[in-house]
Amino acid sequence: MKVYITENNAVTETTVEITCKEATSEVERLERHITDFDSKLKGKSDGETMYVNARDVLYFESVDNRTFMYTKDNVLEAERKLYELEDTLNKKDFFRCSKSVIVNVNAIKALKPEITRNILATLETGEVVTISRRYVKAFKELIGGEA
Amino acid sequence: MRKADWKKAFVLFRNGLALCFTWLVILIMLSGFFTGAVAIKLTSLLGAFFISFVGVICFIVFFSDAFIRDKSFIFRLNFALIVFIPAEIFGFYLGGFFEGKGALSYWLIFAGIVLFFYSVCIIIDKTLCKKKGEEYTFQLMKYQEERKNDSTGECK
Repeated sequence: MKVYITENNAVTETTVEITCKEATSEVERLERHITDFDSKLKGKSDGETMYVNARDVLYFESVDNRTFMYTKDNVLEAERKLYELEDTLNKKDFFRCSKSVIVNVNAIKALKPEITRNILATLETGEVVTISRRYVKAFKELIGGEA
Repeated sequence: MRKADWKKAFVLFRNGLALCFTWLVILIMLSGFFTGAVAIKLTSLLGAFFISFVGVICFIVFFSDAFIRDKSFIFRLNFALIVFIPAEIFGFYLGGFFEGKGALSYWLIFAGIVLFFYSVCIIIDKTLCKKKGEEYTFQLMKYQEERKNDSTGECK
């Protein structure tokens, strides 16, 4: 694979173009990697603006019209609404599991269905997020189980 | 409700009614055999039919997705019992199993049977939930592994 950098003063936004014979899965991975490079999320913690990688967020929660991002050791207030984040985030890694929560599927350690038909998802940190029964079917489809 | 759901509901109704009524008739025959009865009363058959009819309708309405979707098992079980128990009592009176005010012991046996089956349903559901939890977790681990391979560039 050859990598070229072309400088041009007339360009206002940096553009990466992949030229290939065929869009194989490897090329798609490369594209994802480049896209993810800039996918840091802006948040505020104690008045301080911080940027976090989407994959480091365990879950997003909307509380009283404010959206919070929970990482392993921090809670940040996101500047975007939950529905905006839902549109932006990779749907294979982040799942809308209830009206107010988007969970990072890769951060889930164990699943436990409840008698109420909700599923309790235990995260790496031991926190428990509820996958509401309205979203259970879609979640099962995502992880490849029976719907 | 879609046409396919109606069809499914009718098939369930036919099969359920046949199964329940047959078993109740067999039980009536057995009880007649052990108590030395020489014939089966028509009222007993009517009572059995009524109980089967209402029971199957309750089952279809509350336990299939044809009419009620996205409701928990407890919700379905509670509402099915709320509707079915009065119908069952009426069926017992119709079939002559209950008469007049009835003895306290009969009512206690009846309540005991209802509570016993209610508990059995919850225990079965809890056991199934536990088993499903293990399956879902296994499926999730597989999915996470696939995602990891996808992002690290490993070839499948």
